[in-house]
Amino acid sequence: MRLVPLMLFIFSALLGTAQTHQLEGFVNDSTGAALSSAHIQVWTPKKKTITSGEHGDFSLAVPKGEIRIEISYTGFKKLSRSIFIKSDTTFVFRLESKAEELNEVIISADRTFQSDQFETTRMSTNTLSGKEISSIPVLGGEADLIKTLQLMPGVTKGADGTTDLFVRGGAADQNLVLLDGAPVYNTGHLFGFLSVFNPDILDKVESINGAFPSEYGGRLSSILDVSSKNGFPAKTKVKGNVGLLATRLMIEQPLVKDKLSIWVAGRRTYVDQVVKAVGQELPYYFYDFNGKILYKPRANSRLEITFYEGNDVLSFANLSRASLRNRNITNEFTLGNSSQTLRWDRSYRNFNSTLSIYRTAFQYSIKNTFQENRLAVNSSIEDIGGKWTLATDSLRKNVSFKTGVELIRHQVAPNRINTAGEISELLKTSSTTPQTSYETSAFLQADGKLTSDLRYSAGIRVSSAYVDQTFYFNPEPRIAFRYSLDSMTAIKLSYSRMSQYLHRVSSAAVAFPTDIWYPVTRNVKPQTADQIALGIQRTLPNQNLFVSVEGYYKWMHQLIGYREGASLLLNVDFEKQLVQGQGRAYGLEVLIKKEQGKLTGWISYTWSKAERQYDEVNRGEWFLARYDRRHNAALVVNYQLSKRWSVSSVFEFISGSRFTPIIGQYAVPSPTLVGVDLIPVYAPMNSVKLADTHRLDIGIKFRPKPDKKFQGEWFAGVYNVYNRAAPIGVFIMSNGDGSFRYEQPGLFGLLPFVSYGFKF
Amino acid sequence: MDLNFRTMKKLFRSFVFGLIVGLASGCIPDPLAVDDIAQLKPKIVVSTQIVPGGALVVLVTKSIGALDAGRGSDPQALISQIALDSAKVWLMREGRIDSLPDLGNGLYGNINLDLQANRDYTLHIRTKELGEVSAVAQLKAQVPFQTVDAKLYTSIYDSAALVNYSLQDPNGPNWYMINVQKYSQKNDINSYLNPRVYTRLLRDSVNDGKIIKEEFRVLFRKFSEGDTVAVFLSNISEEYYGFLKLRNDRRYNFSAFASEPLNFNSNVRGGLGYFNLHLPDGRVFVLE
Repeated sequence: MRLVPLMLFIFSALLGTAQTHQLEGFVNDSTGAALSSAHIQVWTPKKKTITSGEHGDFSLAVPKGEIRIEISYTGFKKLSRSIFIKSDTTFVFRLESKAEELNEVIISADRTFQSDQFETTRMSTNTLSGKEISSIPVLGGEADLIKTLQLMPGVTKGADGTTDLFVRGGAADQNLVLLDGAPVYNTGHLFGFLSVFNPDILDKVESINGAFPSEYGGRLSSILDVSSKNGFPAKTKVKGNVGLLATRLMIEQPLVKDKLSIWVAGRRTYVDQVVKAVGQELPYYFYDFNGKILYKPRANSRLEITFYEGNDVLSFANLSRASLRNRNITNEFTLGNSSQTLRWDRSYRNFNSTLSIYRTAFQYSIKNTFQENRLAVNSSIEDIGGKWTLATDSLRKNVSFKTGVELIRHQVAPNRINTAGEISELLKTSSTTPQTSYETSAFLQADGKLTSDLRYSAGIRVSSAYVDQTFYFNPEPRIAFRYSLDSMTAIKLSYSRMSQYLHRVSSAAVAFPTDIWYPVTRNVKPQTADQIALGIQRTLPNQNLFVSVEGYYKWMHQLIGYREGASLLLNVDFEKQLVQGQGRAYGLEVLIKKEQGKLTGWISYTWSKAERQYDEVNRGEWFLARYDRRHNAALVVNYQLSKRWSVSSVFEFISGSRFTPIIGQYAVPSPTLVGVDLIPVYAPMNSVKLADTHRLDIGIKFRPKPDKKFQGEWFAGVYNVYNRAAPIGVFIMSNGDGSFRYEQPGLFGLLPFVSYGFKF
Repeated sequence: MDLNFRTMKKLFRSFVFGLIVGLASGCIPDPLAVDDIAQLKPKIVVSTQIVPGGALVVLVTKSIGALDAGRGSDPQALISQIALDSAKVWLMREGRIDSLPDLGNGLYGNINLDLQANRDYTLHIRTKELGEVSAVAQLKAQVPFQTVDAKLYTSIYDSAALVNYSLQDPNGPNWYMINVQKYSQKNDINSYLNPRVYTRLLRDSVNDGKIIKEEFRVLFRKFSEGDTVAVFLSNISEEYYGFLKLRNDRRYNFSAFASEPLNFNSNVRGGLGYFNLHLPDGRVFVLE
C-alpha cells in the first residue's frame, strides 16, 4: 500500500490545483439509483467533458465563480444548471426519466444501454440489462443471461441449450466470467443447460469481446462482467418468480436510509419435489444463494460485501428404492461455485479509488459405490485475489487516467481419484499434482482527446504468472480511437493483446461439468492473442436506434489443443495430451438495437471464420474450429401492446458447427484370433458441417394489475415453436434390417413454458 | 364408482407423472437427415499372425464405408464383402523372397518360412483392385511364461478369472501383450464381430532383465466353474504396443464419446492395419 501515497503525489503534481475548488457529484435517477457513464459537460467557461463513474460519481477541479453544468443520459431528460462555486462542494443530480413524457406506454426503466458506448472509444462490447434478459422467451422459461448473450453479435454457442460461449473464434475457456469482480469458473446448472446467474439479482451485464480496457485481462476472447444490484432502496422490496424449472425470491431491505442496505436472493429447482409429490423419485436439484450488503458511511465512500453460493446435487444415496439398496449402489455427485467479494470505493478530491478483495472456488465431488467397487473423485480450484484501481478525471486538460494492480493466487487440486474393488484395476488411485500459481498484473490507461473529433484510449497492461518455479511475463498493449464523423456517427479502431495463464482441460468434442481448470506449467506456455477491430457506430435518437458494424481479425498463439485420440475424462496425466499451436479468426458483425419505446429488441448478424493449426493434429494442416459457425443471426423483439400485455419473440439462425464423423471402418482380427474388431476411420478434423440451426420462440406477458403495489406477471410461451432439431453431432444408427444410416439428433424440441413473477 | 381418497391420489399421481414423461419425451425433435458426408476411399487392410513352426498367415481385406457394417451385421457376409482374393503376397528378408499363396477368404499363408528373431521382414501385397502396399516389421524373440495359472475368483457380487503368471524379462526394453480368451462349446457366431478379448499390456521399464510376476483379474466378464480359458503371452514391438494401447483405451463406447477422434496409426505404407511378427506362448486352463 506504499504505492497509494506515491501515486497520489505523482497525480497531484501533474494536476496543479492551487487556484481551484473541487466539485464532486453523483448522478442518480428519480429513485436514487446511480447512473453510471452519464455524459457531463462543464463550462468554466472553458468546456470540460467527463463521464460519471460506476456509482454515478464524478469529480473535477473548477475555478471559483459561476459555472454551467449539463448532464445527459440516454432515456432521461437532459439536466442543465448554473452553480456558484466558492469552496469544495458536493451535489447530487437527479435525472428525470423520459418515460413520464409518454402516455400508456411502459418503457424500460433500465439504466443500461448499449448506446452508452457511442460517446466513448469502447467498441466490441455487448451490453444487456436485467430487464432485457427477463423479457425474452428462453428454454424452460427461466430467464438466462448467457442464453440472451448468445443472441448478440460475435458470440456463438456450443451444443444446443448449453451455457458455453465461443467469442470471436475463441474457445469456451477463453472467457473470463466475473460476478461483482470475482471469477466464476462453472457457469452452468443442470449439467450446463442453465446459467448460474439468478436473473433477479442482475443489474448490468457487459460482454467485452475486443478493444479491451487495460484493467481487464486473463483470458483471450472476452470478459463477461456481471454486476449485481447495487442501489439503496427507499423501502423493502420483494421480487419472486415461480417457473417450470425453478422458483426464486429476492428481498431488498434498507437498514439505514441511503447508507446501509442488504439484499438476499435464492433460487432452487423443485422438479425433484414435484416428482416426489407424485410418488416418484428424482435425485437431482440445484440451488443458488446470493447476497449483498451495501454501506455508504460518507458521500465519498462506499463498501459492498457480496456473497454467492450455488450447487448442483445428484444423489442416489437418499433414494428409498430397495433394489438399489440391496445391490449396494449409491451415487453422489455434487458440484458448485462459491464466491465472496469485498469492495471499497473511495473518492479523494480528483481521485476515485476502488479496492476489491475476493475469494472464489469451484469444486466437484463424485462418490460412487457399486457392489464392492468404490470410486471417489474430488477436484477443486480456489482463487484469492485483490485488485486496486485509481482513476481520475481531468488530470490534465481533456485527459483522464486509470491505473491499478491485481494479484491472484490460484490453488488447483484436480482429479484426486480414490478407487477400491475391481474398478481399481481399471482406474488406479491417483491424482494430478496440485498447483499453486500466482498471477499478477499492473495497468495504466489514459483517455483523452487529440482533436475535437478524435478521442483515444491508450493503455498498457503487464501481466505475469509464477508457477512451478517458472516465471512468465507478457506486456499487453491496448489502444483505441474514436473519430466523430458527425454528432451521430463515429468510426472506431482498436488493437489489444491478451494473455491467458489458466485453461480448462476439456475435450473439444464435449464439455463436461467435471472439466478441470489448470494453470500453465513449465511445459504448457501461456496463450496470447492479438486482435484488431474496426467499426462504425451510429445513433438515431429520434428512432431510439443504435447501429454498429464491426470487423475484426484475431491471431491466437500457443493455443491449447488436444492430441488426436486424447482422452481427458478422469485423466490425471492430461498434460501429455495437450498440444499448443495457433489460431486465427476474423469476421464482420452487425447490430441494430432499439432500447426504448413500445418496440424494443435487436437484430444481430455475424459472419465469421475460425481456424486452428497444431503440428500434432490433422497432419499439421489448418482446420476449422469446432464452433466455426459461418453465419449467426438473431432477431429479438419485445412489443408492449398495453400496460398489461406485451409479446416477445426470438428467431435465431446459426450455421451448423463442425464435426468429425466416422466415414469408414476396417476389420482386424482380435489378438486371440476368435473374431474381428471393427476399427473406425474418421473424416479429416472438423471437415463436416452439421445442419444449420434455426428456431423460433414466442412469449406473451400479462400484468393483471400494473398500477397496484403488488404487481404480478404471467409469462407464457413456447420454445422452438416448429420443433426443429439443433444437431449435436452425426451418429450412425441401425435401420433394424442390417443396414445403417447417418442421423443428426437434437436435444430440445418444442417446449411450452409458463411462469409467474411478482414484486411489491 | 366409489373412489376413495387413496385411489384418487394414486390416479392423480399417475396422471401427473404420465404428463411429465409425455411432455419430456414428446419434446425431442425428429433427427435431421445427413446426405453430404464423403465416402471413404477403400484401402488395403493388412493383418498378420505367426503360427508356431515357421508359418505366417496374412489376412488381406479392404476398408469399407461407415454404413456398410456395424453392430448386428452378419460376420460371414462381412468377411466375404471385404476379403481381397487373387492378390500377390510375398515376404522379403535380406534378398530372400517367399511368396504366400492364396488360401481363400482373403487369407494368404506359407508354412515353410525360415523366420528368425530380431530380423527385419518386408511384406508386399499387390492387388488388382487397390494397387500395392508394403510394410516392415521385426520378428521379436519369443518370451514364454515361466509360470502361469488361471482359476476362478468369486465374491458375493461377481465371479472372474484370476490369472497368475511370471516371466523372465530379457535385457533391453520389451513390450508384452497378455490375452485371455474364454472358449465356449456353444460358439455364438455373433460374437465373432468385436469379440470381447481381454488384453493386458505391459512394459518392462522398471523390471528390465528381471523376473516379472503379476496376478490380475479378468474383469467385466462372467466366468463360472468349468469354463475353458486360454492365456497367451507375446513379446511385441513398441509400435504395435502403442497401437494396441490406443485401442485398449478406447474399448468402451463412452470413452470414445468423451475423447478426441482418432485414426489409428499403421505401419502399412499406403494401407491400413498392422504387419506384426510375434510368436505367442499359450496355455489352456479349465477354471476351478
